[in-house]
Order: sequence, then structure tokens, then C-alpha cells
Amino acid sequence: MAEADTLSPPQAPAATAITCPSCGGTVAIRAAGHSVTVACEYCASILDVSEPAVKLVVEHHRRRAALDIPLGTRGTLKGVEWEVVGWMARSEGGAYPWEEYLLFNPYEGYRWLIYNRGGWSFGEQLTVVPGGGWGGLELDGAHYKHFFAEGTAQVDRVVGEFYWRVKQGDTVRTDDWVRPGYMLSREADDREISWSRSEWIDAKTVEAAFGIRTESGPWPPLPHQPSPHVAWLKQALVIAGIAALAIIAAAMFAGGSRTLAEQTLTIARDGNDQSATLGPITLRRPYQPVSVRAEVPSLSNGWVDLEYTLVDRATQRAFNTYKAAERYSGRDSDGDWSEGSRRTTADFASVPAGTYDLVVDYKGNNWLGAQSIGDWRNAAFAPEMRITVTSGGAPFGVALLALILIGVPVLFGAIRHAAFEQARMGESDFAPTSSEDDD
Amino acid sequence: MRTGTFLFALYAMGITGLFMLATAYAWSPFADTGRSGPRPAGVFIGPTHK
Amino acid sequence: MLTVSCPNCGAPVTFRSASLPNRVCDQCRSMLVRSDDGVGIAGVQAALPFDVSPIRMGTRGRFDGRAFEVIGRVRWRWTDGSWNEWLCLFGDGSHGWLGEAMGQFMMTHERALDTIDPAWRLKLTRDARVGDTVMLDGEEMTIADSREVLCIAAEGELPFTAPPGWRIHSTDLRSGSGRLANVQRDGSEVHFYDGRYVTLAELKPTNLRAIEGWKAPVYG
Repeated sequence: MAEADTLSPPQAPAATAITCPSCGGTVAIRAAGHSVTVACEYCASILDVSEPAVKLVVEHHRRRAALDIPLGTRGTLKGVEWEVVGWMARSEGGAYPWEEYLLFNPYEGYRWLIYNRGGWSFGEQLTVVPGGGWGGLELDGAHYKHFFAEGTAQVDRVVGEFYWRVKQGDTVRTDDWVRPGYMLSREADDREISWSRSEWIDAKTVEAAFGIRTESGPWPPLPHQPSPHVAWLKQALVIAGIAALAIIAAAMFAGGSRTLAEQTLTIARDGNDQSATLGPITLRRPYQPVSVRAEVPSLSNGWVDLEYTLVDRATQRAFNTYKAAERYSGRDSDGDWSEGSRRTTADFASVPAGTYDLVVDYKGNNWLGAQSIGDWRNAAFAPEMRITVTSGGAPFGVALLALILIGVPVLFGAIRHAAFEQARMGESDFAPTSSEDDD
Repeated sequence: MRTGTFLFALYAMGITGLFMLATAYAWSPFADTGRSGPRPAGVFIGPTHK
Repeated sequence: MLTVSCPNCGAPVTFRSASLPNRVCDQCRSMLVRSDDGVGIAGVQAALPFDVSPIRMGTRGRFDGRAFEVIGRVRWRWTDGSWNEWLCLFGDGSHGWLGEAMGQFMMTHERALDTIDPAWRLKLTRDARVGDTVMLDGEEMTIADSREVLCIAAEGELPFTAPPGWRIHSTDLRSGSGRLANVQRDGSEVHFYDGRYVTLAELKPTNLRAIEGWKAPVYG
């Protein structure tokens, strides 16, 4: 027996109990040796347990507090089991209330579980003081921005045991700095300054750890709440980048245009229908885009009507389209104006391989009062039209459409992220816009 | 977030694939006439006079 | 190493270091003092109040690469609570104190007073005021606390008798880097301790105290 004892010493008990001198209730002491103050969970009386004889500090006769996570509840967070030993309701002079659960593990010490507007944080007392950085603080190489300045935090209600002398009405001056996911808090009274760092934790994690249910998350977000869109956005940007590279590479690979036919046609001044045939045009690729450009250098305050028919000599299959080149200019109270263009391009898509003829039916006209470059009323003037047929060329339009389609969800995610960040920053004492209505 | 990333990757792959297909068939929604475009017989599309 | 029978109850007691002349008998809690004339009784130590500390006599660990074993403890009280100072005997025969307060740990070693700047020495030993700053080896330290503390009880081997009810004046200093120092004054006798905050994980302790219902961490 003696040998077994030395091999595995008897376990020390984890808790003791005291009797509340006010209500007579049995109150467990879960952090014996550390606890200084106990707020009776039955009557809320404040007891001094720093010495063997329990002393009554403030007597209360309140109803038993109903905590979301009762004292003594255990839960595992970050791989460590914690027991709820204390609870404080705090506020800024009665406004903006929040709750703090004091967690204890005899091997790990104390932590805080903070509940604020439906969001949770896991806090730890710091043994170092963060250093100053550009407009903020530095801790472990991370930068924190000042978020709340010169606030006050008071204790409204306490239940359970604490390692310092806590009482209702205790007030400290507070300042907070944040970075995504973390908050640094400075609490100062006349005697000391204490620093703590709290980490935002997902409500689901707390619900799973302590077997509770909480309301939906806070809005506006908590100061240090990380944007839920940022992870997706980062991954989506990588995916979009890869897709964009693939599209641009494919478009460049498909590129390389070739001139297939060129011809200069004369436009009759009387406005009669004319026709010309260009060909043979040989298309070698299985499918290709074909562009027909018409340019009328002497077009002025007039138009040229064009009907193109691209006919496969073998199958007599035809591709047909209409175009017009129009160009008008003049002068009014705003000065010189011009609109339209002296050229027009027709695009045929998905033209199969084969030998083709291009039939151009065209008709030119102009307005009275035409001026400058060439006067169509002058019998000696012969307006010309240059027709150029090309195939191939990078499909920039389609590529752009594909890139826009890929970019739209990313843009949507970025907007949601920006809205989240704006709402989060809107709560700060250092919010970039101060013109917003404060309610 | 995993599902969101997966769905977007699927979407981006779909768009890229469709683009490749369009390039192979030289198809473009911006063309004046396509391979299967109907011939607007007897319709005269005139100029838009000012 | 010296093992004798307790002059009061006869149980075997061991003195491991000549620099630790005091020992509390594990059996009868007599305060024993070792001298050239043998082992004498200096009084009776009080019973330690119950606490849930993870440290106990025989806990072993490493600090800055040096192995230590916990062989003694003094429990102190101030106006706002109590804390433990665990005496750690290092392999080279030197000792340090593992302080345990508010769930946090700190390791300090005694340091000769004359190693600090005489200008600051006077400040620390005469008129330490909370909030004042002192330069220690070029590092700014703030006086976080300065008040009388009371010895409640002790166990194991100790460099002093630590009788229950013993009152000394204690001044705590902190820096922003986690360093801390402590000045203990008993009349004209002044001791200076220098060290820093530590975590249990950093000390990788073994032979921790088993506490009912809690899983003791295993440090690799």
C-alpha cells in the first residue's frame, strides 16, 4: 500500500465549499488558494474568502442569477478544458452591456469568455505591455489599431469567485486596439494598469463547448470580428486569376489575323443600287471569324448602305448581314459637331472552312449642303469605298465577356467584405467618417 | 467557406471551358451574323438618318 | 546531503544543500534549523491552507535549460489575497523561486543588491512608491506594488525559517517585457530578486500535483 502511494499520490480534491454567512447557502470554491472574493450565487452577497474565516463584505438578498452558462460548467476551448468559476455583467455607465465569464483550469490559470451583443471572445491577461507602433500598438509582431478610446467600464453584477476584490460599481478606464480576430484591451484604475488580449471565437464553437444556444451574431460586427468574406475572397481571387490567365492565353493563341481579300469599289453618285463580288476567299480552319471592313474616306454628311452575302461556292450556303457607314458633321451653338464614322465593320462568326465569295450590295447617298472632302454633286468626283476581308484575330470581345463573368462574383464578394468592414469600423471612435448620423 | 470556394472554382472552370469552346468554334455573341443565324429575308435595315 | 532524525518526532528529514539550513518536518511540522552543532527546533510551522496549485514538493522542470526540483514552499498573504513561492533547487546547487499568483507563474533568482545602480538601490529600499519607475540594467521597471506581506505557512527546505505571522515589506517591479523584480525588506535586512514571467508549458514540468477531475497536461 505504501509503495502504491508513492507511485501515484492521492489526488488533491478540486474544490471546497463555504457557507454563505448571509443566506446560509453552500457555495463551492473551485479555485481555492486564488479566490479572494465570492459573490454568493444564491443571494449575491459579496464575501471575502482570502482568510479561513469567511467575511461578509456587502449583504444582498437578490434572486438567484440565471446564467446562460451556469457556474461549474466545463467546456473545452483551444484544446484545454475550462470551468466557469465567475461571471460579471459590465457596461459603460449602464449602456452597451456585456458579460464576462471567468474560466479556470488549475494547470492553466484563468481566461475570460466574453459575451457581447451575440458575439464571443476568449481573453487572456497579458504579462507583457504592448509596444507603441504607428498609430497603434505592436504585440508579437502584429499591429493593432486603436478602436475605442477613453471608455469606462463598470461592474454591474457579479456571481461566483474572483482572484481580486471585485464589487458592484467598480469602474476602470478602458482603451481597445484591434486587428482582425484579436483585441488588445487596457484597463486602468488609480492603482494599476492591466493588459489583456482577447480572440474572437465563433459562436458555434462556444455553443459546442459549453452546450448552450446563443442568439444570432452581432451586427454591426464586433470590433475585432474577422470578415467572414475575406477567406473566400482570397481563394476566389486566386481562382479568378488562374482562370483569367487561361482565358488570355487561349485568346492570344487563337489570335493572328490574315487579310483574305481587298478591293476598292466606286460608289455611284446617283444613289443607285450597285453590286460587287470579292473572291475567291479561302478559309482553312474548321471554323473562323471573318471580318469585312468598309471604309469611305470621302464620306461627309451622307451614308453608304451595305449588304454582305458570304456564299460558300461548294454548298451555296450564305451568311448575310447589313451595315451602314454614316458620317455627319456641322456647327451649332455649341460649336463644331460630328457623329458616325466613315468606316464600318461586319463580323461573321463560326464560318466553316471552304471557298467563298463575298457579294457586296451597296448604295451611297448624301445630303444637300454636303461640303469639304469631296462634293458628290461634282460630276468629276468619284467617291471610293475600300473593302477589306480578314479572318482570325484574337476574340477579345468574348474574352472580355468571360473575364467579366468571372469577375462579377469576386466583385460581389469584395462589396460584401467592404460593407462588413465599414459596419465594423463604423463603431470605432476612430471611424474614418464622422459625418454619419449617430443614433 | 469551403463550399463557396468550390462553387466558385466550378463556375470559373465552366466559364473558361465555355470560352475555349466559343474560341474553337469562332463563336461570338458580338458578331453580326453567326453560323446558325437566321437570314433576315426581305427586311431592309436602313441607316438612322439624323 | 544530510539525513537525520527529526529531533521532535524521529521521522527522517533530509537537508540537501548547505545554503538551505531550514527545514519543516513533513511529519510533525517542526521548524528545524541545521547548524554546526547539529539540528535544532526553531518552532512549529502552521498547516498550509488548501489550494489547487498544480505544483507540489518533488515537481521537476527546466528553466532556461537548467533542471530544477521543487523542494520547499512559502505561502504569503497580502491584503488582497495569497500566493505561493516555490523553492526550486537547481542541479548546480543554486536555488530560485517559482512564484504562483493569480494563476500566473514567475521565476526569480536572488541577486546581490550591490549589482544594481546605487541611485536606484536607495529608491527601492527606502521610498518605493507605486507608479514610480526605476532603471534596472538599462531596462525601465515600474513599481507595481509596495506593501507589507505576511507569511502564512511553509513546507520543505528553505533558506530562512519563515515563521507563520512573519511580516516583511515587499516591493514588486514590472517591465513591459515580462521581466519582474522584487525587493523584500525585514528591518535592515534586504533581499533582491530578479526574474520574469514563465508559463508551465515553458518549464515542461513533470511530477505535477494530480487534481481530482482535472487532466494534468503532459509536456513533450
